[in-house]
Amino acid sequence: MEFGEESSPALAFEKNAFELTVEDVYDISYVIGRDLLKISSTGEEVSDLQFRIVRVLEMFETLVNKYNLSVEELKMERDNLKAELDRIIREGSSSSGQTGQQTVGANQLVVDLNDPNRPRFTMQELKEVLQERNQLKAQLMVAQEELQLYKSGILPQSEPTMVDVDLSTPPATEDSSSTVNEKTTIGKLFSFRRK
Amino acid sequence: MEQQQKQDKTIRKLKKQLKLYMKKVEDLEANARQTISSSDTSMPVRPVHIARKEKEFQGMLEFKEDDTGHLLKNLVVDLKPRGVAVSFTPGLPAFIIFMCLRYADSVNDDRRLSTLLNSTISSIKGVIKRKGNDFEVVSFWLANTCRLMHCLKQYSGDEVFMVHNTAKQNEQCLANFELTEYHQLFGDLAIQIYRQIIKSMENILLPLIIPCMLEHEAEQGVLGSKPTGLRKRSPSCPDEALTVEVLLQRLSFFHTTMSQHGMDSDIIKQVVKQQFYIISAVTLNNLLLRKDMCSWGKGLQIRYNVWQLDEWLSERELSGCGAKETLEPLIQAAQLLQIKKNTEADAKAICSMCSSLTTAQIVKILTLYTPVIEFEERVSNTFITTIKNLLKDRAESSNLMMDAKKIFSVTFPFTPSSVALETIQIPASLNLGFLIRV
Repeated sequence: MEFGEESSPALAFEKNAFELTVEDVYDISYVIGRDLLKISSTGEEVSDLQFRIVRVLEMFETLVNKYNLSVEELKMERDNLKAELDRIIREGSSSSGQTGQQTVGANQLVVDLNDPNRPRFTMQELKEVLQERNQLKAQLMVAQEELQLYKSGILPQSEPTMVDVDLSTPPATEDSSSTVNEKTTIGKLFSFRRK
Repeated sequence: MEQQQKQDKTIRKLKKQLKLYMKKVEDLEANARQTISSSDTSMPVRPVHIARKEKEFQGMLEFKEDDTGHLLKNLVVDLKPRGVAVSFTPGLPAFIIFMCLRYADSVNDDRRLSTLLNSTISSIKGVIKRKGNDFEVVSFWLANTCRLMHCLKQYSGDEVFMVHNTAKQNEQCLANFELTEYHQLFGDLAIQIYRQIIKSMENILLPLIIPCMLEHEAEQGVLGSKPTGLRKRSPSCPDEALTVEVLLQRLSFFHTTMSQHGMDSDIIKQVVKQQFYIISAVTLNNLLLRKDMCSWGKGLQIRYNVWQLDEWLSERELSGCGAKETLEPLIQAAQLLQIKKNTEADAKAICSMCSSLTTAQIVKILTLYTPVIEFEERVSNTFITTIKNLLKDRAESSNLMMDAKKIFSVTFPFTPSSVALETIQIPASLNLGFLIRV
């Protein structure tokens, strides 16, 4: 039951625009039509005016209708989303009761510290590692190509370049001044042992 | 032989003259062209605005016979009784159909005319059949059928119906056809629709009458419910207490709807009178069957409710329509419940007062009368016998119950309209673009 729906059609004029219903538009049409009839009943100018007023009222009817439908739809959607949110919060709080009732905010992650597969490195660290790997890979490929060429006798045997992977080097300490043993990020993270 | 020669001579002479004149005309034209071109150089011609003469519309709508079905589908069968176009111009469908009629009449096409008229009648009948329970639909078509019928009369050329016409309207009277038979046909259709409107209203009112008029118990000390002040348009929610206010809300809804459809006020008055009769009869019949309704307090309650109904009539300016008079039996019954019922003088007073109640009804009420207060006594048998004696000379029916199904016969007095047909332009929302305004 619509509150504020009066039987007197003229009261539709006093309503707030956003509370109008299509019934109000029809009441307004009735009142305006009746009043227009009182002013003048003949003449093509009046006829054109009447036609335009009716056209405007028809457009008004469409708008009011669309507006009310949209309001209804949005309300329903909002209510649905609210209900879903409540449901999820309830589910979330009931399952986290096992780990000691944490309330998790939005955009947060709970990590089990005993999980061997837990995330441990930052994006930045990962980026650096990958860059270095790519570099080393490229260098390795170049070295392999050279080796091939030496083997096939194309290139004369000369001083080895770049990387010296000398397997006869005595075991060196971590702080060795050897030029080969660069302190790379990989080295830092994974303690290589050179033979 | 001689004559033929003479004629041949005349022909040759005339041919020569004709050639001569043709040459002359050619020469003149050449000269005229020369003078125009020579004057061109001396006087530059200003562009002159050619104004189109204002087209005067005649208030007709051109349509093809094949369009009749489409026309009636959009204008009758599928038309909603509530919308911008029809609220703005009450009776618009009737005017549109009549303007098409005028066109068929003007081109002297009797077949197009009769197809339109007959299809209109059957379409309206179809709508009433299918949607007879929808009060708004039935009211809408009662109003429009009457308007169409009035148009047929107003523009018939019959002087009786032309008294209030403007000069222009008189010009627009039907030129070629006499449609008096259709006056009768539309009149019959209107009566049919009237019966249906009473029925549809009855269906809505019946569940309300007894609770609102009889059963509702007012708060102690305060007669009647708290006035809401609002007489709402649509049916209220079921949780609301069924008071006389609720009944009045329905009546207001009916009245407003009929007015907005452009129903003739004469017809509205007859409808209201019929409504009040139904309320009166149903209430009284129920009272006559129930002991618990026959008390002094109930008498007071009924009189209050009747007063509210009367107030409603004044508000709506319907005081003279005869509705109040139909409530008379109910009013007298309520008075009977309140009046003293002991002495012979009382009996005489009762007999003169209850002019609208039958003896059977008076006796029944007295028999059922239940005193509420301790020391009040039931009506004595001797008193009832006294009453019977006083009334035995009455010549009346022995009916106890009122005939709640009785419908007063309806009339449709001619009501011309001042609407100027040539000013009507069909609103876009009616989807009648195939009609051409003439």
